[in-house]
Amino acid sequence: MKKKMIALLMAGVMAVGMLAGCGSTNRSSQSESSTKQSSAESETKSTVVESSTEEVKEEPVTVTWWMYGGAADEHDLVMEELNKLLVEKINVKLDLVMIASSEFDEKVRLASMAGEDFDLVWTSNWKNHFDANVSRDAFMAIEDIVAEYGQEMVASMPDGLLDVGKVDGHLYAIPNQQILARQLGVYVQKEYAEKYNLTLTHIDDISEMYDFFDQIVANEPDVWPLLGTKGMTLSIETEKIYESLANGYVFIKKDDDNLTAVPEVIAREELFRTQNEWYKRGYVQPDFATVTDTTANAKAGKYICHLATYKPGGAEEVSNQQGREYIVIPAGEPYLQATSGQETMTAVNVNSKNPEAAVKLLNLVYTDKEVFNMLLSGIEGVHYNKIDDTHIQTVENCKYNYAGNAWKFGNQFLAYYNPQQIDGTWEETDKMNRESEVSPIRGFAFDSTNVQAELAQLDAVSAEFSKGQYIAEDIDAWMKERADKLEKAGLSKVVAEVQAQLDAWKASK
Amino acid sequence: MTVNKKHKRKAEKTSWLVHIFFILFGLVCLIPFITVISISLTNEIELANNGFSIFPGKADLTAYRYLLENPKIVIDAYKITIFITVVGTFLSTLLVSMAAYSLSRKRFILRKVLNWYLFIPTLFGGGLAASYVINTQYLHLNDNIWVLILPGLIGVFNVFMIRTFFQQLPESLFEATKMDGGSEYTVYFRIAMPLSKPVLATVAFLDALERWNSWYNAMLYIRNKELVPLQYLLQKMMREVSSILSEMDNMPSGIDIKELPGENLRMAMLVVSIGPMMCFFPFFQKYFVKGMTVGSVKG
Repeated sequence: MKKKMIALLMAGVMAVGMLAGCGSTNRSSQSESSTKQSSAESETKSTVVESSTEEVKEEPVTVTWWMYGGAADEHDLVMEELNKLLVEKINVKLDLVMIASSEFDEKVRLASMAGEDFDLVWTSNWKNHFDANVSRDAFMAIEDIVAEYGQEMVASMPDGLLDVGKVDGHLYAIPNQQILARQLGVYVQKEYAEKYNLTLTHIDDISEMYDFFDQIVANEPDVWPLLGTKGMTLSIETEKIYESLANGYVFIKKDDDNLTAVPEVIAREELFRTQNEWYKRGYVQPDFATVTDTTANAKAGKYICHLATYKPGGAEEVSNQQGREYIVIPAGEPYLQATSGQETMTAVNVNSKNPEAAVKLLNLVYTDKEVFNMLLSGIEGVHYNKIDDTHIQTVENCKYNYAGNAWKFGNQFLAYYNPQQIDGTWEETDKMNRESEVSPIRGFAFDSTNVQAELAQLDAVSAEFSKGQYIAEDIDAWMKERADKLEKAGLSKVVAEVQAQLDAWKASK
Repeated sequence: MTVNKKHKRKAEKTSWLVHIFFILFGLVCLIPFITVISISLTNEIELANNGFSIFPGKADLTAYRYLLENPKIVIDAYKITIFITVVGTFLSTLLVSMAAYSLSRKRFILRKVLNWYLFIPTLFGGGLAASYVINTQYLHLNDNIWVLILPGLIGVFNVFMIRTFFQQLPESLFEATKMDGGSEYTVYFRIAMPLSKPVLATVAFLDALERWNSWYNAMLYIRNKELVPLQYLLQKMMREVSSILSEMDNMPSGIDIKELPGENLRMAMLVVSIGPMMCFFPFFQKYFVKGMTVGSVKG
């Protein structure tokens, strides 16, 4: 009897679930078709209006743009409004597709292998890798189209920036404009900086801050002076002297005109010693080597300082992100790396059916303040209010805000300032970009095709030793063991490959 | 429980060992769940300061309040998951058993050919790109709820399992039905199916579990927020966090840690999404396990 009851209950649940499921899909497909219908209607309406005023105007082309990031709640609403503006200006419509960060690489790769015809896609040297895409012909060579439709955006770039999007003389991607020059900085919680009277405004070496760290260790038992770095890409010690190539396994000295490739085990020696010292002096949390997620501690404000890249307005940005006040102490000098600018670019898909319209649209977003800011901040009065010509305040419970994505869409310097940002940040950044020291190998891009296997093995070894430098009792022995294993994984072959390519590049200059 | 009772009757002396083993085993299974619930009830800052504990010091409902502020997402996801599980399992079991039935009939001319046709793809996969192209460009299934149901509707392994079961049924039963004027359909629906309940239940149960837990296809094909199934919602949240964390050093603009869901929110999400299933599962399991074992003893 009991069994039957349960069975009956289950059957009931299933039936209800089925109905509910069906109901929801019906509804959504209905609403979908109705929106489609209405958009079709509005399209025909708009074309009717246009054709009466302007007889030669064609049906607007829709450009699909794949971007990574979370989609806003009122994405569709803003797109509709933005498209009115775009049709009016260049007779192009935008279909912006926001794809979650964790899925972006996989989805783009699959779609482009399957020959899908999206038009614009975001790319970089650290996510949706530019090199890999170019080497499997996923991007279109666009130098001719850009010469015709993209003159304005090219004109707004500093010298040499466009070159980072070129491979073998063909242009495959348009670099976005944001901070290009690389400089590191130590971000310090203002509260503690004031309490312990930290007055440094610039450092050349992290050891200049050890007095401050020691005071924290001595007087603040609940916090740690420094958040260690997970990767090895943030290193004041290494970057003072070297610039990295080949995923950080090979370096060259910044002032070396002979362009001698240096293996990472030499270039990073100083970094490992320093990090080991941090650990021994108690600057980083004792379980740092095994901790995988530090965000909870960061939210609780347990790290007084952390390393990050420095840029004008950086302290305000970090303060805003972390929800507490920070100051920043820049370290070293700004430096334009060989491929600075590849951190964020936009490419045209090789299967795009409308590359001209795509470049036209990109050019407009890149140079038109009105379009760019609507894309970032939505509709005035609904999502933000203007304070003056260059300042805006987002409304409460704003359902559309892509301002955090400004660096992925063309020219960040066109963005309105929000109240947390400092006036003149963009001008100052632009100045820093144009005036910093330039790498002796600016424009050189390492082609990793011949050493793929070695790089993969090096990654495996590196991961095995990850964060070990902090807890190593004997740092020299640890470094030796690591160096031996890297050597076995093919480090010297990668160094030789880099050297060969550098020599060839130098000869071609 | 039944195991313990048996042991008591059999050998009183060893029973305490068994008890301790199962108590420990039970704890090992239970503690992570309790911890998850406890984390979801703890304030984020407190979590960072005191670490995880089995019992929350002070119940804090922020995470749940945040989740339930916008319950539509979770409810929608539930609806989608239930729909694809129920419809998918039903269709899959029906089609798989039909295929199996045909392949089990010795009179079927294409039997051998189709057996090989089904067998070969179990050895060599076509790869992701191929199925992606088929689903998106030929079948135009992207952003369609059927993409979560149709691909992989027929599991070859299941076909073979049911086929073997059908083959064990006495041929004479089928012949008798035929003689009474029944068609192949009558034999299939009225004779073969009712006799194969245990194997059908097994297949349906495994299939339902797999469908309930699947998220990969949704990741590949679904863009519409209203069509996101539950497990994908979870995966997305968890993967997003780890992906952002791993890229922290590279992000030119730094990351907005306020946007990352805290540990408590992530766990609350887990509780909300697996909680109901955990309540139903014991009933399901009991039902199915009994069905299977009873069936097999009879068969």
